[in-house]
Amino acid sequence: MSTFSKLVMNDIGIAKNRNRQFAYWSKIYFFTAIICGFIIYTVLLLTSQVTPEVIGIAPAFLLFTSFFTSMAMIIREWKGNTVGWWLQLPYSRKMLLGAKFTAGFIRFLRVAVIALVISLAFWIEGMILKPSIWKHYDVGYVTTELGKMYIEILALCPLLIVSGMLFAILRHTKFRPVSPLFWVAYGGLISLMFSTFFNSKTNTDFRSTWTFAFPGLSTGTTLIVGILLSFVLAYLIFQFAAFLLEKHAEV
Amino acid sequence: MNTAVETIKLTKRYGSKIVIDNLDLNIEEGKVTGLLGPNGAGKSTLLKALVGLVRPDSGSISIFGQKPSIKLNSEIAYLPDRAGWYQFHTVKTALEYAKSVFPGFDEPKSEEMVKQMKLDIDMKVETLSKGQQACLQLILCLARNVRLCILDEPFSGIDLISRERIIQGIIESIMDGSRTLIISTHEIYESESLFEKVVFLEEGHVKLAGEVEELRRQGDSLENVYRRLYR
Repeated sequence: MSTFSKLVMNDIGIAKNRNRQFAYWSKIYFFTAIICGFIIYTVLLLTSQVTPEVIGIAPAFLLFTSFFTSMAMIIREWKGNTVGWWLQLPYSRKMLLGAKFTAGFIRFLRVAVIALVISLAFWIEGMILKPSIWKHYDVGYVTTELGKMYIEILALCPLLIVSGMLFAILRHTKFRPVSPLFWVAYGGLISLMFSTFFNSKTNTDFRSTWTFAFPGLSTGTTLIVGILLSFVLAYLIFQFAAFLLEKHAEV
Repeated sequence: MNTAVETIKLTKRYGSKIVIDNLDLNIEEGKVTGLLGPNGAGKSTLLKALVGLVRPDSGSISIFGQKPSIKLNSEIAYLPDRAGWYQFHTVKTALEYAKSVFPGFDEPKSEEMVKQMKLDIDMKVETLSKGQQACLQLILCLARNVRLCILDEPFSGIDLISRERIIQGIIESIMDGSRTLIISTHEIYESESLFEKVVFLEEGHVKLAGEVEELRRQGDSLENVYRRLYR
C-alpha cells in the first residue's frame, strides 16, 4: 500500500472515530432514528402532508455532511493531540490535505449511497400508500431523476469538502478572527449553489404536473458552467488551505 | 565535533510574550543532550521550531547545516509533548502505519521494543493506559533510523515502572552512538544518567550549558545544579 493510500485509510479512520461507548450508543440512536423517521414519514404520507418534492430535494442537504466531515477530520488532529505527529510527516501539505480530501470524498460516497437507498424506499412506500398522488412516478423516472440529483451533489461536494478543511485550518492560524467572515461567505456560497442547482422551481405546486417532483434540477449550460466553476473554486480553496497549513498553522 | 542543531539569535513571541529570546544554541551531533528548565522556559517551543511546527519571528535555525523543512523532517523523529495517538489503531496497526509514513522506520526493531515494553500487539490504543500509550509513542520515535531524535517530555505523567521501561528503551536505542538525541524533561533524577550534555533554559535563553561530567565535577548532581540555578 502506498504512503498516500495509508494516509487516506488513516483519515477515514479519523473521520469515523468515536470512543467505544459513543459508538455503541450512536448505533442505538441511529436505528431508533430510522424507525421513528419511518413511522413519522408514514403518518405524514397517509395524511398527505409529505410531497414528492421533499424526497426529491432531501439528498441535496447531504452536501452539508461533506463539509462537516472534512472539518472534523482536521479538528480531531488538534483535539486528539495527534497534530504534532501529523504535521511532522515529511510530505507536502498538499499531499496531507489531498489524503484528507480523498477520505472525505469516500466517506461522503458512503453516506450518499445510504441516503439513496432510503430515498428509494420512501418513494416506493409513497407509491404503495398514496398511489393517487405518487402514481405518476414510476421507478424509471425516479431512478433517472435521483441519478441526476446525485451527479450534481457529487460534482459539488469537492467544493464543500475543501471549504470544511479551510475552515478547520483557519482556526489554527493567526487569521482565526476572520472565521465569522468565512461563515458569511460560506452561507452565501450555499445559497448561491442551491439557487443555481436545486431551487429554481421549488415554489411550483407539485400536484399541478408530475414534472415538478424534482424541484428544478438545472440542466444544460447552467449545470456544466456551474460545475466547472465549483471545480475551479474548489481547486483554489484547496491551494489556499495547503498554503495556510504550511506557512501559518501552528501547533 | 559536528553540530547537529544550531540556533542564532532565535526569537519567538506569542502576542506580547517572548517565549524564545535571542537564543544562541549549539547541539553536538551524536550526543544525548538534555534540555532542562522550568515551565515556560521555551523548551517545547524550541523543539517544535526544529520540526517546523512553529515559525520563529526572527533568527535562524540550522539542522545538519540545513534550514528546517518538510523534507528535512524525514531525518528527524519527534515525540511531541503531551501527544496522543490515533485511538482507533491497535498497537499493530500503529506500527504498520508508522512503517508506511515514517521514513526509516525499522519494523523488526519496533516489534522487539513492543516485546520489551510488554505491550499487547492486538490491544487498541484507546484501551492502553497512559503509560502504555507513552511507551507506544516512544517506540514510534526510537524505532526510526534517523539522524536526530527529539523527545519532548517523554516521562510526563508516567508511572515509575513505565518510566524505567522508557529509559531502558532510550538507552538501547542510543547504544550504537550514531544518532543525536535531544530530550526535554522535568524528571532530572531519572534521566540524568542518559545525558552527555545538558542545556539549562530560562525565559527563552541559555542559562547554562555544558558537558554533564564537567558540571558534575564542579558541583554535584544535575538536580542540585538545577536547584541552584532556578531557586
